[in-house]
Amino acid sequence: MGIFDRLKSIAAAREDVGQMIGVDPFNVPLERIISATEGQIHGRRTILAGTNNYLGLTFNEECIAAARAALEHEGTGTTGSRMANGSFSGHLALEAELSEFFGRRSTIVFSTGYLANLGIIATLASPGEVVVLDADCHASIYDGCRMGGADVIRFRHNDADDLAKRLRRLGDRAANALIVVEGLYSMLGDFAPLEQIAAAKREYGGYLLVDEAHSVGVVGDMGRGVAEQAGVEDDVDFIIGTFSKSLGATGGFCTSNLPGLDLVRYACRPYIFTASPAPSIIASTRKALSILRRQPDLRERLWENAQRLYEGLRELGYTVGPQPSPVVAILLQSREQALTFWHGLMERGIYVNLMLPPATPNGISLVRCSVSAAHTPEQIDAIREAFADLRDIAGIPGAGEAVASR
Amino acid sequence: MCRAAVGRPPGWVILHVNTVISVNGLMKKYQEILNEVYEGLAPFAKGEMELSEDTELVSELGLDSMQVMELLLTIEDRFDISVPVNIVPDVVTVGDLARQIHQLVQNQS
Repeated sequence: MGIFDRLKSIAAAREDVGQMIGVDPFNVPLERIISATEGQIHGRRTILAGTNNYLGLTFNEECIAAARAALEHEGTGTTGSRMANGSFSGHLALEAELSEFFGRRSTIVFSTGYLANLGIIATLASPGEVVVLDADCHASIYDGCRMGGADVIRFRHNDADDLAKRLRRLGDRAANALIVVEGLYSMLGDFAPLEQIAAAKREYGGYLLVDEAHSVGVVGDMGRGVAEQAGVEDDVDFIIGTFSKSLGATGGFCTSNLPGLDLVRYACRPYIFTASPAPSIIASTRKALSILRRQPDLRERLWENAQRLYEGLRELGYTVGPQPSPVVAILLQSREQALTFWHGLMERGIYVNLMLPPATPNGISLVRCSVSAAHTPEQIDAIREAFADLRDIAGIPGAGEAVASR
Repeated sequence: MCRAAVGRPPGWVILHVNTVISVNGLMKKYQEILNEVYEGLAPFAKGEMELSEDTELVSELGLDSMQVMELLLTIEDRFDISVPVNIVPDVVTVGDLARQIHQLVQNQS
């Protein structure tokens, strides 16, 4: 048996998809990036509506200038880990700025958001400990649990009563349990009920970690995320976030008031054994954070666009996620339908994300749009028009005479 | 039964002090768990397929790891116990799953 044998099912699935739509939806070539919201794919000018570029800062002039200056003055990379090679002043400054923004004692910056979840969870939740997590948590959270070796108990998605029940069953162990949820879930764009989750934590004990990857810069009056909006920041022990969404770069962080976080840095393998973020990335992220703070109008524009698309697609008869948010999910009836639908959007110059089981909750197939403050109202309307064209494929009743029979 | 008691001296002692009642109780509990697992897996059994302790969850019933974890949520609530998803890699057959849960029931009772 060869080492690639267990990947044979992937080869079969790729062939299947290739025969159906002729392109690989999970390896799309972006031939040219034109702006934060436009690119060229398969020779066609395309509206990018699946980038998580919530504030549209990837082409912000100030961010680019900061990155360019860092490149010129500090070089292209750090060529090693901070533990071995030392911290650049930018790393330390960004950690201080994040601590100040979130009102927390200290922050650790990671090279990616994935590594932030992996590192923090794996370091805190070692064998003998217990993690209680929302069933729909991101793969990076599950991977952190696996790496740490703690017992992992799931609770039903966004069900605080279910969490409370599972904490109760843990008895004395609940006091040290690490409860892990996300603020805004990336598949369906739904919010965690953090008030109730925090109440369950207060009743049974434990530490609460909230991954605000999709909500920092997006939710809350100050842009600190769902915990801010829910008014429960004091109940949240650890906030994890990323630089690769609203902040327009790559990287991740964990911020906390607990003094123990300072020690995590020395025990956290995904922090120690990887190169630290490049100076240009740190510089653009710092600038993006300052823009996020002083330009709340970006958040307002983002939400106007999100509402416009969510309501527009709902009016067309689509089954959308449970509440409006910058993640607009459109639920489809089967894997085949989702593939054909996604390809139809591509042919109309709209790029969104195709999501299939097992990456999705409850085995559903969906296409997922992420809205940006940089989308113009005309672009949002163009996305809506493409969806209007494809109602037949989605099997929306009354959409046209040639409703697909499935 | 011995497997369930290994590593848990108090349970082992009870087993010996009150052998007949405990053995019957344990057997009954195991059967109850097995029935619950059968019930949870029934929707995955295609056609005339009959479930047994040797039925394999992935290769025969076509479950993926997410579906096994969903089944665990139901079982946790049915028996009011905590079932860490860490057991999933060790579960190949229906019997493996029932035995793992049985052991957890013993440990948590």
